[in-house]
Amino acid sequence: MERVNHAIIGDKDAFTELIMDHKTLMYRTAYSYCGNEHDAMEIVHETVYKAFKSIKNLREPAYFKTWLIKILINCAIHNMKRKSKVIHFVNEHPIHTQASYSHDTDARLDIQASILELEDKPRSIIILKFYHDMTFSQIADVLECPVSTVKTNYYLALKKLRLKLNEEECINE
Amino acid sequence: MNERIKDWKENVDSISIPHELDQAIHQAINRGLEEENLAASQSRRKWFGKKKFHALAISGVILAFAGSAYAMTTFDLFQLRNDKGEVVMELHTNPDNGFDPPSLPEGKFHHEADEESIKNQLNPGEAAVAYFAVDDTVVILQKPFETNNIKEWNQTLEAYNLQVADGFADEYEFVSGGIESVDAIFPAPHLYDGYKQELKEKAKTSNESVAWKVVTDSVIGMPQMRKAVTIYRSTATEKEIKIIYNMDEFSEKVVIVGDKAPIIMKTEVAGKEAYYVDGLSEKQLYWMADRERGSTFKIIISTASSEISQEELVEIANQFVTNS
Repeated sequence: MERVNHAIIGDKDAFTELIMDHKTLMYRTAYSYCGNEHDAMEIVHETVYKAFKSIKNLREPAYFKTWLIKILINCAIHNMKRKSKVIHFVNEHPIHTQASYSHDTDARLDIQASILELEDKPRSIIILKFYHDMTFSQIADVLECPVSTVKTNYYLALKKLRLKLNEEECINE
Repeated sequence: MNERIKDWKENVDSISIPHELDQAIHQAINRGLEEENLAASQSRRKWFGKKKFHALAISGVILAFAGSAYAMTTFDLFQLRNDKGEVVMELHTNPDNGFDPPSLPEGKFHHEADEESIKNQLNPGEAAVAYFAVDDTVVILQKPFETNNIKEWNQTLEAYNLQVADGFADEYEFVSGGIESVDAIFPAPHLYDGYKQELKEKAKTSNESVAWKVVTDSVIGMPQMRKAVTIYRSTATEKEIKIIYNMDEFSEKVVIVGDKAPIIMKTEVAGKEAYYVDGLSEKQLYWMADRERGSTFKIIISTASSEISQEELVEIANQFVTNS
């Protein structure tokens, strides 16, 4: 908390330390959002830059992490809209160090690929809900929308994921 | 479904972190810092039109007429003057002067790769004006110049009637010299639209998203050499100091100093009035270069070493002047 306070009043070193503490979380969130290393790096870069510019406006130091993730999700949405390109998840995934894929690995890739196919908001909600274990209320804060909208999008996203995964299982069978 | 979500989460947790991530983070922070510096620099120019500045200036004039020292200190304003009595630098302890820093054009930094590509085609120290269609922006780019060869460095400085020693005080040895022009990011306002029109047309004609051309000092409207930075390192303690020559006529008249209760103290270097500043990440001493050398530079000696005290920094500055 002390470091956050220092960062708010302009201590660059404190800010850098905070970012370094959260870099893994930021990168993995960005990666799970965009599915490739290049975009994930860009998203983190933009997030850090925007956080640096606006940390002086952070009113609640206790919410630094949520605030950072909020910036990151916005950057991720912006990044994907700007590029609107095809996402190559499977080819770039780092777990490809294994000699061959197990059924479980395929399943994990399937769900990641399915998440990437979701629209911005439902995708953000799924990542925040399952990876960050956020409550609907917290997600609503991050996405700046009503809790009811979060819930609606969440259930729709789950439905889509189930449908997609079931379809793929049928194809695989 | 829950199992698959759990698997997915574990999988995300196993995503490896690229080595370049730290670099990307530091670049982002530096980008923010550069932008802040630019905003501060532009604000300083705007500041002179503000009523508050006029009030301070008037107060200063009143004190000057009242028989104050050559360089006056009034309120929280510190002024450094050249031998003509012109104010060449003002140090201010309060960054909040009631103005709103101008914002950069949106998306300015979305074309670093193109900027790098252009810089790579320039000679060291050379500058270009570039237009980027992606954000409809014109910026000045300059290829940095840096050398660790004292002979080459002095040859570069010759153009500015400057020379530096390869060492001094039997302790500090030359490490490197470089030219910085961090303020030269946008063309001067009166030239901006002209460049934009010309280069936009060029980009359109060639069906490219980027168009650029090499420009000279006079075209840019400010000198390519904004700051000449010479770095020395102590052979005894490894502490580094920077000697920075800032060009007089283009240097800021107001320097807004930090926001962490900065200390500004009047002192002397080689018999000349100087200001010691502590409150930034570095401790600095500011004083005017000797005009007998034909230069119109102010000198900043700076160190990030927390072990160097104010007295030591003044002593180092005196030794540097003696040996230059």
